[in-house]
Amino acid sequence: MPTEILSSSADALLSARGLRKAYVSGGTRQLVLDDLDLDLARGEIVAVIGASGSGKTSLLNLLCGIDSPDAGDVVIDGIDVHARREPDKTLFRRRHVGFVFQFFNLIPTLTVRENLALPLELLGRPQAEIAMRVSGLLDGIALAHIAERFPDTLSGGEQQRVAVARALAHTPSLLLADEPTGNLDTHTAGNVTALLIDMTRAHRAAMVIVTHSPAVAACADRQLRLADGRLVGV
Amino acid sequence: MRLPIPKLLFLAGLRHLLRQRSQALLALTGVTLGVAVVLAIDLANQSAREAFADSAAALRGTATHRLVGATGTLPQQLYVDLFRQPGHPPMAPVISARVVLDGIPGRPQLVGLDLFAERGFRTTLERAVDTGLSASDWLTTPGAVVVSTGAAARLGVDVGGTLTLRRRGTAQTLQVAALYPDHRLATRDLLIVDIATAQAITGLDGRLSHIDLILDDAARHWFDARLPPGVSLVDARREIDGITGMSAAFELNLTAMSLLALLVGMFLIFNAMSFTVVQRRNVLGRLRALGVTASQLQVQVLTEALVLALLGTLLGALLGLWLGQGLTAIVASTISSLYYEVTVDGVHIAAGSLVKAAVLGTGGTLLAVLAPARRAAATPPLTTLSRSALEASAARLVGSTAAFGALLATGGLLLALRVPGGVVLGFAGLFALLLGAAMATPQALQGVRRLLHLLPLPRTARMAVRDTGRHLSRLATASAALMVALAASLGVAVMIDSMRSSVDAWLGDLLAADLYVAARDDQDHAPLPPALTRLAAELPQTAAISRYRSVHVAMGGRPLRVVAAELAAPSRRGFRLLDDDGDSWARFDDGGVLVSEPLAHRTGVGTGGTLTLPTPDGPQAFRVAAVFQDYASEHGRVFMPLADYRRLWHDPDVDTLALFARAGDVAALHAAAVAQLSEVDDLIITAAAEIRTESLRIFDRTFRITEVLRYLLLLVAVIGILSALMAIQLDRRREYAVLRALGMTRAQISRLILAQSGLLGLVAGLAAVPTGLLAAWVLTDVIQLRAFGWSMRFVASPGPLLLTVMLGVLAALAAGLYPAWRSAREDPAPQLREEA
Amino acid sequence: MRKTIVVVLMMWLAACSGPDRETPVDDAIALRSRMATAPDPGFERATTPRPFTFPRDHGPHPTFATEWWYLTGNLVADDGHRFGYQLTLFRIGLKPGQSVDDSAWRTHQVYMGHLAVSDIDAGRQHSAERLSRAAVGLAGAQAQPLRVWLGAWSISGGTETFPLQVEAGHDDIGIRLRIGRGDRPLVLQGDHGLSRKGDAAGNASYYYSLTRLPSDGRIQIGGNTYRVAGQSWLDREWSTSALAPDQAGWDWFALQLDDGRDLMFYRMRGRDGLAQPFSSGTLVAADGHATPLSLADVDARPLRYWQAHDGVRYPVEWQVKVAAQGLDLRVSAAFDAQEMRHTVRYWEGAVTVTGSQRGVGYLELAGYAD
Repeated sequence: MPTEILSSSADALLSARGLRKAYVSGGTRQLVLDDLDLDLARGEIVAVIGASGSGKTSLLNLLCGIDSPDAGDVVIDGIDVHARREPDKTLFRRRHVGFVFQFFNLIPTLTVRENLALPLELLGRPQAEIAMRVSGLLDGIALAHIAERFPDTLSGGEQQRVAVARALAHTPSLLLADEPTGNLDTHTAGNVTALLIDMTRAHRAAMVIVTHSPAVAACADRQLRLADGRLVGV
Repeated sequence: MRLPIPKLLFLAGLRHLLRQRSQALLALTGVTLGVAVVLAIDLANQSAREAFADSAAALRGTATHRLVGATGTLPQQLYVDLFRQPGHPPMAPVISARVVLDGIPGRPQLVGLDLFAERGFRTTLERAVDTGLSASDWLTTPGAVVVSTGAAARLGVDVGGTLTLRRRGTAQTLQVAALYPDHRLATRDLLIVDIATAQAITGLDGRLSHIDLILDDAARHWFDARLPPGVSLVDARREIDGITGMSAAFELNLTAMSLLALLVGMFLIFNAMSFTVVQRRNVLGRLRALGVTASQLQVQVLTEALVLALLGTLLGALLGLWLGQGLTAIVASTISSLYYEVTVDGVHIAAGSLVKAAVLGTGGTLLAVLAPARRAAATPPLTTLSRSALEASAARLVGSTAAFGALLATGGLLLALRVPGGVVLGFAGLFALLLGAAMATPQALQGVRRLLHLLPLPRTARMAVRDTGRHLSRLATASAALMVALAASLGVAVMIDSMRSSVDAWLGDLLAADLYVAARDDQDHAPLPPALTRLAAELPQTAAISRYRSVHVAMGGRPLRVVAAELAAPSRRGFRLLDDDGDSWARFDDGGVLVSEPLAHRTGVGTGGTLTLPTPDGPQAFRVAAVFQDYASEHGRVFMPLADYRRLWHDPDVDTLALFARAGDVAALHAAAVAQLSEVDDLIITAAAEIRTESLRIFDRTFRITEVLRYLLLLVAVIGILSALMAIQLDRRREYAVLRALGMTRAQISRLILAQSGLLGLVAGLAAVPTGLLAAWVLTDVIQLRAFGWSMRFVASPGPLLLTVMLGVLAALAAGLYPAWRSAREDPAPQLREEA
Repeated sequence: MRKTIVVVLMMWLAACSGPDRETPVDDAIALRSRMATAPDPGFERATTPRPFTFPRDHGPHPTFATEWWYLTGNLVADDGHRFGYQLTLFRIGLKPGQSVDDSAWRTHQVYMGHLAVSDIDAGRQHSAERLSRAAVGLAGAQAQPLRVWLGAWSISGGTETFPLQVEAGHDDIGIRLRIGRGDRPLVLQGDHGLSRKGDAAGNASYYYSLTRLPSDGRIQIGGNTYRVAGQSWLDREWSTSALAPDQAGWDWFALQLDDGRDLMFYRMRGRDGLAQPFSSGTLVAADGHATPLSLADVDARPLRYWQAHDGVRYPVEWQVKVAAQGLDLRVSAAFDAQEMRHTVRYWEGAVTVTGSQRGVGYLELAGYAD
């Protein structure tokens, strides 16, 4: 089984080796990730399932450099993420990674259009290009009619669709989705999942999707379970 | 304009401020009030200074030098003789005197000029001629007067109208021949008359007040060997403008107060911006996850602050201009009562003041926002820190901040007390002290909170106490701002109390005699009839008598009063000699002089030293018999034996008599003096107690401006704490909704908020007491001494201390009222439905 | 004679301008309208010829509104350096009668002085003005012994009046002259000393001249002092009169000819620029015989104008013909820039005479700057 997880191809995008992370909470040290390995091919969609508190979110944070591991390293596109310093990690994220969160995490004081434009503007793309790209994304998520509205006026499903589009706006090679449907009703969840998978594939991005939902997990190329700090195949 | 950060990032931050209006308003209030107070005071100072400069310029014109006489006047023959010598430089004779004029407060100055000599000197008459004054009438009509349009308006006269001027009991009528236009500000009320009229009114037969000169370097020596003894050539600019130095210390005090207001304002900004950063930590975390760098977040917060700073500065400038009008009037009346007559008809809006306020406003804002901006930058991506974890980390910081604050305060205190230096250094120390104390305030809040925790309090109060701990990071700043305001206010109050009690005690000693007799005259220190001394001494009710003669001399460009005195024994006891070795009076009788403390402080000449004074016969060195405590003048006074004065000044007059009643029967002496002496001349016969009361009344009026500033400062703090509470309560609406849902009544919620607010005020008030006392110490023992040369007894009565604590609590309670009312009224349901 | 000057000064004193105006033009115009009003009736007026008594009449006549002592002269230094000078002391009565006696500074009398030294060889004129009330000894005049002074500027005589001691200075110029009586008799101008200036009764002055006074002394310009000698001309005039509304000014000639004759002529100029009938003059023969001249006797016409930097033009070269006396003179400014710009603006300067006779003199051009 480990061989299967470690199966790497010439088209490898992400390679995590020996990740270890412990948190101190209430005076006790809790080992969340213990010598974890993960490989991801370009365009591959992997679902990670696991019990609450099993460390799924921690894994995502380590993969993109938001959090640092106690041990181990993460290589994405040949770049050793944790060998870099903080500002570089940020710039790396800005360029290569997209996020979809459970609580949508749109910027409340920016309109839908502006939220979509933000990652592109951070990359310093020309305004004309940004405008075109954002229009395309809005069409893609069929929300052009609410482009000028603020997030708090949208339904949960709409917000998450915007979040999906924003995550892909700057065409990252890696998408990290943390319970993207956790806050949605079943029907909406199905729609959002379909959108997420479709768009990710359309953009040829790889995705690690952390979820409780078997339905969501079922859409992935691979399913892995996080248990006792390690990933095992399902 | 190119933004230093992506436009959308700036937009997001700006919209946040717009949504969280209460925070934005709090920050805006801080900047606005800080800038407004600084600007208003600066304008008031500036306007008063301008008004003075204007009147000085109107008086001095283009004169560079002046010929003055040792006893205050010159023989006019000197002018004639010089005028008839070939090659004399431009000269203008002047006769000036203070007069009493119905309808004009204070004592306006009557200035007699010679139209023909004025060419090249003053433009006043020339401008009057331009407006239609007939020079022929001007020269030939006794009593023709030119007044400013402003003075005319105040007096309700126009050309052709009359003014009644009083002098020694007799009235003289002047006829307004023309008006000269006031430019910008009304100058001191000058009554310009022909020199012939001035001489007739003042009775200065054959004499002039001074001669104005325009000298270049070459012409300066023209007067060498041409001046008789007793006449000296002085620099006009220094002679006239020297008095502005008088108000420099006064201005400095006001400026310091305004900077304190700015300091409090900065606390508000700090508070508000910290709050918006804490409140936005989730959004900031999202942005970090999206690839916004730490420095971009820092710039974002700084940019927001800059927008607030610019807006606040603009509003503050407008408010400051308005406030400046009121303050200008107060400052002008203070200066008039304390230093020189000045009438300010308008606020002089100096570009410099505006620039200063703008720089302080924006600079202060950015400084205050540095810490919150750094905190924003430190936000981790996708922050998962809970509110309680945040507060826990804030609580950990409280201790180290307090330690640093204590260090800063101690350093400031040492800087002020131990490092010799100017007033500026003293103020720097004072600011460090206040800042340090402010930093220690959160620790004080913690301490008080823990202490209260141990007490058996009602449940709501306990809850309030516990809850304060949970919101320490935000509440502490508001409390610190209030503390700074209270402490500054207390410090100033104690300083004024100390001064007042010192002055009162000094007056009590100095006014040792029972009755004082002077001539009722438009001139200060007008001579008394020679026979009066004998008559007064012969009154059966007179036990002893002291005689005084007072003249102004110029020393080092500053006016100095020389008082020649023949002192009865009880009068001598009224002097508080510093470091008296018991031989001081013996040395005085031996031709020594007594030097006032400010003069000794300024010149560094102490007991046993030598002081050189200008006399009619040229400079003369005097041995300093002793230094005495004196609050009469910050320039200084010198007492010398009357006999020595008469010999050196060739002036036989006296101008004041001090009478001691036989057997302490002041009433009998007063009655006898009024009956017997008033026949001789028009006299002012005043009991010592009256003089003392009047002096203290003037003192109180002088510090009215400081009172106003104290309240302004408190107002700034109250608004600050109000905004802080508002912000917090709004932030906790959901929390209150939960409490309501759990069964708390509206009244309980209100009480909770009020209790919390009161706690903040209490802590601020308590912390302000020691801080304020230390500030008062610095103000009295360091700053007043350095600025004025006045040493004072430090007096701290319990009244102001108690008042400070009460003010703190009351201010905080007042600030809590609206939030309490508002939060209690809130319908809990929508808050509960809302997503986190 | 120098009425305009005093008139303009009076205007300033009477109402409406300040000293050191950039352009007294506006003020002068404003004055014109005021001149229509009659002088204060309290002053005495020159209506009929009067007996002149000396030395009393060398002194002041305070019952009249205006009066002047007007000295001009052409002097030559030991080294041949040529100079012209003018020292005028004007007395102005602000009001008739005695002033109120409230202060020693109070007076009705004001003095104005004009001093000019023309350095002819250098082509530069230096001038100064002084003003003062006649009180406390600052300025004043008395007849016996003669003394007229304004600060350090003074004209004074001994018991015999002549010779006069004249002193004046300002900044770096100064004159100190001894002016002798000479042998030329005193000339009463006009009708036995009554010189009419206009139609209205009383618009006249009492006027006498001493046309050729041997003078010597020192002139100082800058650091240089020159010993000088030559002839001076003294005009004395007092009056209570005003310019008529149609009078613009005058051109006044005081010429000392090499053949011993002295010519005085003033040409009253109307607003139309033409000479008016009240123009008059006197030709004094070497033996002192005086011949009155009327406008018809004298043909004076400007030949050349000099323009001040601001455009005001003065006729600085003239042809003056007195046919009956066989005179055809060309009168030219010794140099052009001899304008007086003080409270009153006019041109007054040394002139050179050529033509049928050679000589020197002074020319005054008033009323051009309005």
